[in-house]
Amino acid sequence: MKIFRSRGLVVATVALAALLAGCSGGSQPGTSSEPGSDSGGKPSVGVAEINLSLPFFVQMEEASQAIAKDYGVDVTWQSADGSIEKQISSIESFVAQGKDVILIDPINADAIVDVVNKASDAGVKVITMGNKVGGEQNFNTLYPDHDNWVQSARVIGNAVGGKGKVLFLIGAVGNYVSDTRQKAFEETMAAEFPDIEVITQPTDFDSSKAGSVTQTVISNNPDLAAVASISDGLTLPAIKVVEQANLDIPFVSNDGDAAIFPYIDSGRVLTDVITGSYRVGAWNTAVAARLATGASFDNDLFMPTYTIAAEKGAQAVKDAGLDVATITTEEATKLATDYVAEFGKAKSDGDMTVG
Amino acid sequence: MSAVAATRATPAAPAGERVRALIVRFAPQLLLILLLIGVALINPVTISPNNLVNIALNAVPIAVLGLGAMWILIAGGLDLSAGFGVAMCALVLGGGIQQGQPLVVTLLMCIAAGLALGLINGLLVSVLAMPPFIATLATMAAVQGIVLLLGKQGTVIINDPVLSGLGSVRPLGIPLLVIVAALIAVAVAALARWSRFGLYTYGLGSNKHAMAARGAPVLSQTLLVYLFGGLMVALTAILLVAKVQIVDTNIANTNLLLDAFAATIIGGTSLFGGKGSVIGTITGAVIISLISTSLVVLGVSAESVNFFKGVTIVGAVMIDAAIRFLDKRESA
Repeated sequence: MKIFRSRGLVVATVALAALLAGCSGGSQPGTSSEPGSDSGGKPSVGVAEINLSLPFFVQMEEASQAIAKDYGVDVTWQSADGSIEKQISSIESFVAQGKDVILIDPINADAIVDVVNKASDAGVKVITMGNKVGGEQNFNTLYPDHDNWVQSARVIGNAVGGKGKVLFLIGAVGNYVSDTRQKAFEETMAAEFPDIEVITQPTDFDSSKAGSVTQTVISNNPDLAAVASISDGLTLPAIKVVEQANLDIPFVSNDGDAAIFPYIDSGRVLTDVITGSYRVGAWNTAVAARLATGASFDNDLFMPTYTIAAEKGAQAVKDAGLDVATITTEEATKLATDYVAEFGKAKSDGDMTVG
Repeated sequence: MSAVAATRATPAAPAGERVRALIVRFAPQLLLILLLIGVALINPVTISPNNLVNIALNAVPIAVLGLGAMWILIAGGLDLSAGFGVAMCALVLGGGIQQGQPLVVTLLMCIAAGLALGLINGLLVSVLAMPPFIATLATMAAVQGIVLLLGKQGTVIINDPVLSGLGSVRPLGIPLLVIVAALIAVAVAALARWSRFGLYTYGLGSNKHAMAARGAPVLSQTLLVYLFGGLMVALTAILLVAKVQIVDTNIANTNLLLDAFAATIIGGTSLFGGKGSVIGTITGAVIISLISTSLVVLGVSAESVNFFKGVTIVGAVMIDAAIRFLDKRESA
């Protein structure tokens, strides 16, 4: 057994060495405080992401790197692996490296205020993504999730005639996006459709769990009138369950995942909102690149989002009294991956925000 | 545990001792009955036939993955990569279907992916003598990366008639998935009871050095144990894909792994090896599913679901531990 232990020790040492080599292969902490000094004169952007272990974030990075080439800026992504300490450390490291702009996807909006202010004081422009962070000079790139989910509540509430039971699939309590959509939907339902019972169920963003929960809710509520789901990844397994139960009930959803388009076209899903991981990554990087090259924006920027609907859904939007332009699934397909055309260098600064 | 209990529960033993032995022997099942009574008292609808079917259905992936976890724990090992392993195998399955591969080929690819994961884990633990925690922690990270790469294919909707049928057909009202999971459990139980592979697995976890001293193939047995775990990962993926009927990167993650571990531990499997039973693990899976499903039926608020689930599992484990502690004290 001694030989095995020795071998184990050797393997562990090699693995540790590889890990350290891998870590050092990323961004090297710089010593210069000159902006852009680590990128051969090109403007440089550092991104402190929550983690890079989820497809959404990985796709954000992919689009970010692609659009950075269009703008001629360098972008470095670092994962905080869900740790606020690591995220703060990444931000400090970016400041030390002399990044021109730092994009932060905050793990905790309150916890990063100090480091955001320190970065701003050091002359670095800071953008906080998807959150409003109360720093003194930072920019906030925001998604109109609240407005979108007020709209979704009105579409589904009106579609079921203002009464009945609606299953509402959320992600996880404590997740900023999930919480924002939940609050908007539930408050609108309570205020405008008091005869609708909302059955809110968390899924931990687990598609298998979304299917199981829907199955259980349908078994106990055969009179279920509709399903609202904050993410297409949760909507699809729920649709499968509803189909198996031979129920003809409408859905509203979010994200603009191509896999859901056939259900939009068939009228099963009335409306879906396209944000899109690629678009989110591209838009934030485009704003950062423009700031790095001297553009000026208001502190709060809002990402353009679109409501996808087919004929039945578009009618439902009209019936709900909403003045919202919808796009077709074909248009959404193009939009989802054509982010350079939408947010590229050829566009104006004014195209970077709505509202 | 069961052998000890059976020995004490002889006709010559006093009645009280026989009852105690039975309680210890069937602790997970008693716990399940207690929980069923508890939720039925809160709301009788929770144990309606429809909900009992849902509980059984939701227990399927937990049970099958739990059987793999149980087998590895019995051998004194551990596999942290199983949760993401299920996602990886599911994505391989979904990718094959998306590319129009014949189902048989796709299923074989899925099983090959599970076996490959098991092989790598087995080699790291047996040949390279890495601690199972470190080895499978490393493979978990690697598999997570593979899941992200495979996830670029996007969400796959399963319309294959065989897989759809497996997930939706209910002969005599019993979901086919439950029947398949039961057959897998019977096969694993037979393997544990009557095969040399089963005997060596228990021996490996009870006293590896004694096994080695007697010339038993410790190294190859360890490898086989992890291969078996990989096979169960692949089977879980197939059943899960049939159940959910979509494949994406979030089809299984640490939630499923933790549920499978909890089921295994509640079912009486020792974290230190050498002890565990199929019926215990299946009961544990049903307990976990009962807790999750009941919280939905009882309308527990979204903010409190995880809290109540955690508290109930801790309560269940504490009751189980208390029964075993009392048994040990009495025996002493």
